[in-house]
Amino acid sequence: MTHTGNRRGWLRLTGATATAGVLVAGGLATASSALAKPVQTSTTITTTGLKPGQIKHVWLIILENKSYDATFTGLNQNSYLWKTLPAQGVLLKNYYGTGHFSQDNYETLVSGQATQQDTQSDCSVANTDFGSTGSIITSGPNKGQVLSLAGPNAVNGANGCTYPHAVPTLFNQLDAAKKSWKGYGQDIGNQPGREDAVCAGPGTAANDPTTNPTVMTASAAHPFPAGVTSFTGAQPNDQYVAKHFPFPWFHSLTGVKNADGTTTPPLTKPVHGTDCDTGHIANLDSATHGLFHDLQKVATTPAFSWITPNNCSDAHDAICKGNNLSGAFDGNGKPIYQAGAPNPEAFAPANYTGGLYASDLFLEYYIPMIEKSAAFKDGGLIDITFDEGNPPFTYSGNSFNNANAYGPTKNDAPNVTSGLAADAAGQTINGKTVHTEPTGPNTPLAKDANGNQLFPGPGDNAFIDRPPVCTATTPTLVPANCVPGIVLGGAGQPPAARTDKAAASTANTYVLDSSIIASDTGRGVTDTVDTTGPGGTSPIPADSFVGTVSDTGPQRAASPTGSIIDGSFQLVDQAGNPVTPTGPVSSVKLSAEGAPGFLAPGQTADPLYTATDPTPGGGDTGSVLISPLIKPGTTTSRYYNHYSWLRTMEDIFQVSNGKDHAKLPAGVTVSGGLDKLGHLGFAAQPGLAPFGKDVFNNAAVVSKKS
Amino acid sequence: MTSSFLAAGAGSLTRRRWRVLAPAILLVVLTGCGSKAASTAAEPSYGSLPSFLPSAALHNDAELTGSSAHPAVTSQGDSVHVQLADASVHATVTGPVVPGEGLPVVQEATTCTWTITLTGASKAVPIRAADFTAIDHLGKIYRPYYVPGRPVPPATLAPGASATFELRAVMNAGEGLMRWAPTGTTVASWDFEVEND
Repeated sequence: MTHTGNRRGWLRLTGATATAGVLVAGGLATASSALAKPVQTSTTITTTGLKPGQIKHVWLIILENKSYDATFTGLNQNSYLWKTLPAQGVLLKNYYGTGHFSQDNYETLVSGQATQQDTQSDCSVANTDFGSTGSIITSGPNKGQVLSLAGPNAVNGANGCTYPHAVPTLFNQLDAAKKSWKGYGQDIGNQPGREDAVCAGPGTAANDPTTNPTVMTASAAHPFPAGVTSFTGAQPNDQYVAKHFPFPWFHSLTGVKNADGTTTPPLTKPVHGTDCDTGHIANLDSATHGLFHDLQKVATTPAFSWITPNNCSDAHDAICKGNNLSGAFDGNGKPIYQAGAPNPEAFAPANYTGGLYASDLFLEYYIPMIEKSAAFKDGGLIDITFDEGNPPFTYSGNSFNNANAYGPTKNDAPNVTSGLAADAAGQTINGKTVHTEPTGPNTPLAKDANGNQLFPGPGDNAFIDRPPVCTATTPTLVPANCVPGIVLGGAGQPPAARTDKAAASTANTYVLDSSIIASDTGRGVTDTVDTTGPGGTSPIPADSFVGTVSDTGPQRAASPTGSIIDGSFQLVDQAGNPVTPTGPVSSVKLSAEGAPGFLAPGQTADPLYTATDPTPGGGDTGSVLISPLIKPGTTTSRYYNHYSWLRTMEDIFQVSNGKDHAKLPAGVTVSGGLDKLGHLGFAAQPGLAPFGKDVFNNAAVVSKKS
Repeated sequence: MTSSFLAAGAGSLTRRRWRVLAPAILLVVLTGCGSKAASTAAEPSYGSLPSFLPSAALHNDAELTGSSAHPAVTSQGDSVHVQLADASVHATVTGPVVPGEGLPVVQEATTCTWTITLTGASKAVPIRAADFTAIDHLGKIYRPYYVPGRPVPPATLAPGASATFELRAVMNAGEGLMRWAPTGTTVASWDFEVEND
């Protein structure tokens, strides 16, 4: 199906075109029309290659924080996701997140809205309203995007988290198109008072963003409800986190409790019930509204199912606070489904290891459950994806912990290039790969005359190091017209000196150090017990450095406070030759790092430092899709991102056939979207490719048979 | 090598805002834990796995089976049990090995050498360098050739015999996939990365 698009002019802001000067009076910065290059409007949109109605049911399972390298290149031992599932479907090798660190990706997926600092920071301050109906941009390249009332690049906490009522989501579009949907969240409701706000929002039932915002950290003025220890992270009895569930963050779904005591209903009404009732938002394992219950019959299976595993099962936590489902398999590794109402958390876990180990357990339990359903067999589509490609594999944390005895060599040592990969962007426009994405009005990229980046951009500088403060003049001149501190985004500064507990001896050249990570390679090493230094009695010879780092795991953590890493490094001299300690070592000090070219005495160069590279996106995560309409064991290298995904879903369910054409700001309608073709936000970029015939590569065959 | 101390260090982990290793001491209060539920390995009553999916007998770390109908995709270093029309063979691709990693000047492209191992052929299997193609992350296709001066495999692998040989191509740095199509269609693909920095 080919649509004829309008010929409206369209300006697309890219990292390359966004330069200094995006700040204008009153904070109303847009993607600077003076700076963005006009792009020829496309007259057609690409399509999925599917026949209308060919896909009838979609299940999206969204996991957390892994790069493509970490997940799909065989560098971990959790092979259900990277080996078994790709053998059943198609592996998207270039599927990109759109920002960091989590929540912004989820909101982009369902609304096409770009990043902003509060959601980039996972709404860690308070769930207040973000923007307003009046701040929805009505023209230019950011048309339809919500501008923060605090202006572009306002710091975390100044923007708010919940989108205005006039911002539709995919779910509103499904409502208008009379398509059923449900959001399943693992552990929703386990702890009263923790996600009792509308649509499983954080807080109690009395909380709402407009009149009674949930404060996300506890204080004397805002204590947590009884039994709640965190809104933003998992707790042992309830590992659900609202930041990974898109529904409560849109007034278009939750409705509004107005300050004058009145209420505004959600923007749309579903076929049955209301958007946030138990027919639409449910605990994954609910006996009456959960996934297994709904899969019993095609008639009870929603057309679209959003599945958010908890903060353990989604691979987020390296060590789980609670159950990782490791007890829910029999001796042959087969999932145990209790008759009638499977509940894997009813079994005590065998260990607490998280990361991709835990997500494999989740997928091995629930994917077959879906595949066996009648709804899957008749035009079903399972989509397993990630929010963002962060961190890159060779670094540390929840990716590296899944390494299978993989010891990076000196040449694998992280550098800026690999760090920036975690912030890369990618999509396909008019058939051509582009390595940018629209930044939106709130996280524009810009640089000064010296090429120094002023802002973090959608990638939020996740895995590089920036100058200490925006206004610093050394070591690198940073202009005075940026927002102080904001350039750091989520990045760190060059690391200070660090002391690690360690163990080494005269037996060999290796130092056991559980804190060591690959980016420490090259740091100077001194003994912290014998500090006599060069020429003294220290067991660490002078001018010794961190050589090859080896972190292995994951170990099976016996408790939520255990460790899953065994770390070590080789002690080397300046030329890279192995060095043997001259005595026992129990503690080492690693040198401070500094900006290359501006090192103070005793510092070593920070391999992750850059002042000039932009961070335009959320990195490559990869995706796996399984369907009768997809040939098993296939791959595609075409570039897609969360905007492509939204466009794909909108096309699959033909939301533009809906009947809700009430005008919203920027000319948007629920059914027509921003482009009158049913696409919301930046999913409406002219020429943006949805998943195509490279993904649905068996659709024509199935169509002929049917 | 193991460590005698297991606490995850703060160190540079705390530099990053994604919070993965919160060291808080937590009470383990697990939902329903401790009561091994009346468990049965009951299958969902509403159906069985669809027939178009590959065998459910796949296990973690098991050798994949690849054929024209269901090509295997795996990572370099992995063995694939390739099923041809009238023969089968175990095939492994490792590499690429690249020269000069870590050089001061990093080129966009580099010489890549893969090692191919074919073992356990049930019947004669043809071996042709032209049956191997590599594709990079931008879709460019490379046609590797036998490495000059290195042993060239026989044109046909005899039943029960083994062959190990090297293929070479100059590829752009980045991601890639080595594909084997001994009968004209791909039966197995090996994912790899070309890194020269």
